[in-house]
Amino acid sequence: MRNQLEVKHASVKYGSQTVVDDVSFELESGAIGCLLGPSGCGKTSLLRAIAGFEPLAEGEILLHGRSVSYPGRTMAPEKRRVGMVFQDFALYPHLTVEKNIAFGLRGLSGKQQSERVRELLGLVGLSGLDKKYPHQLSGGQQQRVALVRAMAPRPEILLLDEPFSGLDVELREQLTREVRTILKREGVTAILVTHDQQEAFSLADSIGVLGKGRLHQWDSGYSLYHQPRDRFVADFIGQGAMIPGRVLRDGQIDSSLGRMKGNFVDQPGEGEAVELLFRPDDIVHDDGSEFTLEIVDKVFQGAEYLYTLALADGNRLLCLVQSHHDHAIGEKIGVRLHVDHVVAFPVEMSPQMDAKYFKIGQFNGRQEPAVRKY
Amino acid sequence: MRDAVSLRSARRKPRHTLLSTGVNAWHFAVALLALLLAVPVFVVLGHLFEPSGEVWRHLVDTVLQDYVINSLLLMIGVAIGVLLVGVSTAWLTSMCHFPGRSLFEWALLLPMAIPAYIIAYTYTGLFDFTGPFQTLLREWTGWGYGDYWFPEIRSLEGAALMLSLVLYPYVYLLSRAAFLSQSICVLDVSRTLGNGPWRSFFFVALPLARPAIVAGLSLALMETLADYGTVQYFGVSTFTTGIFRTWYGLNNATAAAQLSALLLLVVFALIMLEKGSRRQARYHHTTQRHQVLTRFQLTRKQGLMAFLICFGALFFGFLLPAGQLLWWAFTTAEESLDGRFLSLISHSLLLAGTASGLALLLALFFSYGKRRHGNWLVLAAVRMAGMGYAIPGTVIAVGVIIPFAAFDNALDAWVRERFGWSSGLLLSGTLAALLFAYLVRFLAVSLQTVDAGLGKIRPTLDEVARSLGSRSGEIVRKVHIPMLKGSLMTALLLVFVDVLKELPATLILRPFNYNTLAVRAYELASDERLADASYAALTIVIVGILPVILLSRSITRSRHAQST
Repeated sequence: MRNQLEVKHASVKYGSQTVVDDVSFELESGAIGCLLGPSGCGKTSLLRAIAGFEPLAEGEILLHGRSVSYPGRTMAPEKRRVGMVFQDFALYPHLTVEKNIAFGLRGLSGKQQSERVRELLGLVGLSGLDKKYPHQLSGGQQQRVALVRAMAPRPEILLLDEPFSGLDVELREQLTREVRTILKREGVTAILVTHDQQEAFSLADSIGVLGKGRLHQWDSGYSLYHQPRDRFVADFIGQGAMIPGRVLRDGQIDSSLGRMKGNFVDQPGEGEAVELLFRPDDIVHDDGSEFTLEIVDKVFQGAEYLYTLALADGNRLLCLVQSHHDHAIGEKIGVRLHVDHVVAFPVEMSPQMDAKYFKIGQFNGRQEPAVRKY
Repeated sequence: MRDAVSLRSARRKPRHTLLSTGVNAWHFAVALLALLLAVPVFVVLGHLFEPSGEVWRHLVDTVLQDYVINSLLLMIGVAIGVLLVGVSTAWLTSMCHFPGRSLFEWALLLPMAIPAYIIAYTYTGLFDFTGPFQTLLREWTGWGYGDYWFPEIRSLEGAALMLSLVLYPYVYLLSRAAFLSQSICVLDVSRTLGNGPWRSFFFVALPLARPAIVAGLSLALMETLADYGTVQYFGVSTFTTGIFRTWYGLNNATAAAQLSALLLLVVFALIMLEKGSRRQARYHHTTQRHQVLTRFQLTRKQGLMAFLICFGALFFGFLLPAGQLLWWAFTTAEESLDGRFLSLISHSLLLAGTASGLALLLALFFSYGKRRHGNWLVLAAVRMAGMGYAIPGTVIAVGVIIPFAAFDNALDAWVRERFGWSSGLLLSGTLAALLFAYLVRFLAVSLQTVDAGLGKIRPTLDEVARSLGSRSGEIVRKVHIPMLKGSLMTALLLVFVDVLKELPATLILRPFNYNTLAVRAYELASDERLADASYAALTIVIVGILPVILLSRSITRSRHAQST
């Protein structure tokens, strides 16, 4: 299948500051991609570069095989045929829903226009609201109008800049699923920018994790979670605990959880100190297991309890357990490891990151669940 | 998360402004125009450093002290007046329940429609010896001339009272906004801690609203310093009357400019005070959430008091003078409504219409310059162009007349030398000079309104249009103009009304015998033909009500927004 979007070694600079640094990825026609990262990571700048609002300092962007941006040339946004959904929706307050959606429809007769508008409104379940003004709509309805307005002229690619961040959590989850269904049904190629990994997981086919302008990993949500390529991705996606270990002669790793075969990006040498990543779902509670650990903290999460377990050497592990296994703090419970891929990183951690991991281990429910770290 | 969002959009903006450091034609034009508009201020300020002439020394020896003391006393009087009336009415209408509250909420703004010089001569007509009030008093008591004491309205205290009656809405507006924004959190806390209305007011609301109150006060004081008509009519020697007298009586431009410069320094101090207070007011803003207020329920007696306070402000600030004007107009209808009155109206319409149109064009030019090509140069230029608003019309007139005369004389000398004939006075004493002065003084009004309107069109609205294939022209036509329409009309209206009311600059700069409504009303009143002045005055007041309606509408709208 042909690549609808190609980003090759793209860099965006504001003055001397590099906000997007040598990013490359591709998106097939009809696929949904996501740029995920903490605020200030450059994801929005990259999206704006794809839309044509920011020039490239280096690299190239191709839309449908056509080069639209390279240093010294930035095709104007109005000529690119990109649809964009902004986080504030940017609906025109002086135009009705119908006129908003028809805003980008050019070269169509009045009848064709209203047909297209009706079709799109039907697609998002807003039929009959065509004569309303934006301020008469709820947040979710406004969001849908913004979406179909961008889709109306059948753009080469649809760019969504944190489109759900203005909505409350429940509506956000419902809309994310809905938008994916709509985009897939229409076969729209789209890129979503967000800092919310749940949103990324439920909407996108492939996700790029950005940090400080660099693309750390471009992968499926599953791989990002279970096989993060570096500490940044491991840290940003999901929760987990880091356990120190040491590489043995046969390439195995020795830690307080025993010996296991590691999975490395760069194979470390013998004797090198590493850290092993364990996700809460890697540690399975099993009353039959002989290996028992003490519960030092627990958080009720509805379907599950998130237990913090202490190892003999003082390190902590997180363990996700169905909530009818209700154990008290101080109790010892049996666990076993259920790890498909052992992920290990060479030790290069700063004291700050250490503190952060410790904090997750100490998680006591006063804060927001650490799943949404940003 | 919302914070992260707003942070990002806040960060995106300065990026453009910092990046575009290259100077293009827009920057050049904006800077040039702003410089031109700042000429009067610079000319006046320049006289601070001029060696003082004999006239100046004479002024210092004789009247300067009077000017300073009278201006100061007037400011103190007005400050006390506007604080008492403005803060109390603001507190009552925003925080307490009493009959007529929602009516007073907007009606208390009505006195703004009456220029101080008009209320001054109306009150003179009402309360001086031959006025209806004293006549009635004599008829009832049988007293004659000299049998009783009656406060002299044409005095410094009288002037302070007149100015307070029409300037308190500044304090009312700003402190009301402050009370409303703080109410929901801190006042509720105060009430749960057992404080009644009075304690809540003095220990919580008042200290928190102080920056807003000070900002309103400094606006009222700027208007006080700018006033010429009232003090001249009441025979109080202040800076503005002094500038006039030095200019016309002593015929000394330099000394007049030096007086103006001194006055300007005081005005600048007030501007700093206002700006500083507004900045502080932002920090004192205690909540972002707006909920339905629970107002204090007043007892019947308290409610009556509250009603009387608000009604008093409205009655003495608007109803009484407007009623008197109406009565005069009614009694003089036959002799006043003639061709002369029509020519007054057409002159005023022409001036106000042209000035507001020009100001709007300039404001659009500056505002778009800022939006599209905003770098430090443009920002500085726009700030400079908006500087004139706080500056008294008298000062601006002096600052306009000096460079215009110098230009005319230089041109004349050059033409004479070169071609052997005289070009005469090309600009001085023309409508062009007057219009220029209006622009200097009132551009800020237009600019603020257009800026605010354009600011509401978020950059994403432009970007959406571009991503949907619209070019700049189409964006302006399909997005900006429809969305700006209201702001543009408001800008036109505000400048129009301000020009209509403006007295001292018009008096000084108008072409010979060119009369406007304001000038004529003032002249007739000065000649003690109070009733004859009523038509011109009433016209100004009626037109002046229009922006008050606009303001009150925005107040009701914000109230609705709060209750949803």
